[in-house]
Amino acid sequence: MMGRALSNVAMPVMKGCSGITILSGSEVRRGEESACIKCAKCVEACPMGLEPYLLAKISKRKGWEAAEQNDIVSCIECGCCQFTCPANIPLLDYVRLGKQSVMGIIRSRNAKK
Amino acid sequence: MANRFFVAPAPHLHGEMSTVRLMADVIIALLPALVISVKVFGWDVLAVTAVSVVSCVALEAFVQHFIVRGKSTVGNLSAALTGLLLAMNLPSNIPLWIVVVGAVFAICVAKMPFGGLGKNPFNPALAARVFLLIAYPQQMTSFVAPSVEGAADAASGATPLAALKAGMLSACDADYGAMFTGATAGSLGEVSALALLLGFAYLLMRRVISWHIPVSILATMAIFATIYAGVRFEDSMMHLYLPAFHLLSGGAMLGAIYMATDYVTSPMTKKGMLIYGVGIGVLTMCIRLWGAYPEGMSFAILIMNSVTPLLNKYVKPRRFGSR
Ligand code: SF4
Ligand code: SF4
Repeated sequence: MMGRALSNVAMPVMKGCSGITILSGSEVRRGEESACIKCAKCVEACPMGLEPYLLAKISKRKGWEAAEQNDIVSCIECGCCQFTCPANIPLLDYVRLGKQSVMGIIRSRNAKK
Repeated sequence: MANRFFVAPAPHLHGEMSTVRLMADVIIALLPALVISVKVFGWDVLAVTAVSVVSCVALEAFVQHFIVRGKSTVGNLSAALTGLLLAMNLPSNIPLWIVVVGAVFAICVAKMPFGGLGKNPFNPALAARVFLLIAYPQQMTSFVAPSVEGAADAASGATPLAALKAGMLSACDADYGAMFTGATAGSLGEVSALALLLGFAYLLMRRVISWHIPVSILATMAIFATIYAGVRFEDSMMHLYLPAFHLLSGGAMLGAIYMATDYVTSPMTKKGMLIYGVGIGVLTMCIRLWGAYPEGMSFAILIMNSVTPLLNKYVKPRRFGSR
């Protein structure tokens, strides 16, 4: 769930690598994204108590301030939200994007002080 | 290599949940109620259901193709489900053209103008039901008396709730067995509590919905009715019968299990769901006991639908590590 995809054969094996998982093509296929039906399954799945549907929506619109208020940086990138979403929304992709941007903003804010 | 393969970030797997599957599950869960309804009211039921489902699906396809000009969304079954739920809210002897008017309202007013599935603030089927109730009160409240043989007879029946409101019936001597298994007058989907509970069990088992909304609504209604009976009536039998009567009659079960739990218009967090459920329960009982209509479920749900965005904004899940 959290592993990195081997995008080329030159990827190194490091100390933290506990295994290589090979998944079949049908397992990794990404479904077509459709509208969020507000089913709350992602909210229920999130171990950190976040609201992935909201974070993804905010990140899509680049609302970094609102994303920070909704604790986007607490996301541990476990992927449970995306796994469970019936509408096939790549929630974690959006949340990760938002998290990176918000962390960047926080870092530059701290640097200024 | 990169261009021969599709490389994406984690997670690489996806669960088997899909929108279509969820919608199909709700439709499956409504089938027992439909079967009972056909048995009680005869074949009219199927005509109403078919007209409702077909017109909802056709209208959604039409709007999506000619007005939104987007990809067809009929395949996600949400329009079919709206049609089925709308039919469940109508009496079996309703003229079919009114069913079509209801479908037009559900799809072309309550759903598609807001952006279709996932964005409508009110439950389309319920909005259509309330619209019809206000526009055609006569046709919407004349019910066929149930007949167990299978053919509906012409005598019109009063629903248990309407009878209670008119003072024709006391909650003590209502026929609870009939209300449980379905031999009472009413809309298609509200006659048999047993069939609806069966569907509820299926939905819970498939994890389509969680227990929070239905249980909080029904529990609130029961507590409210008990307190009301305790204050109003001396007779201690009434204290037991009134809550049971309100849970089994009218749209209580249908509303609590199928209408209020509609994903799009219900809150996202468990806490929010409980507040929403309690709100619906209290409003329903207020309308039933003191309002002009015998039935308050649909109004209560629509009112709480409008509170949902507020609940989503202020009732947040507990963040891990915080208090
Ligand atoms: S990836 Fe982040 S937002 Fe999604 S479930 Fe895990 S912690 Fe929650
Ligand atoms: S799981 Fe997907 S469809 Fe359901 S609320 Fe979350 S983002 Fe929306």
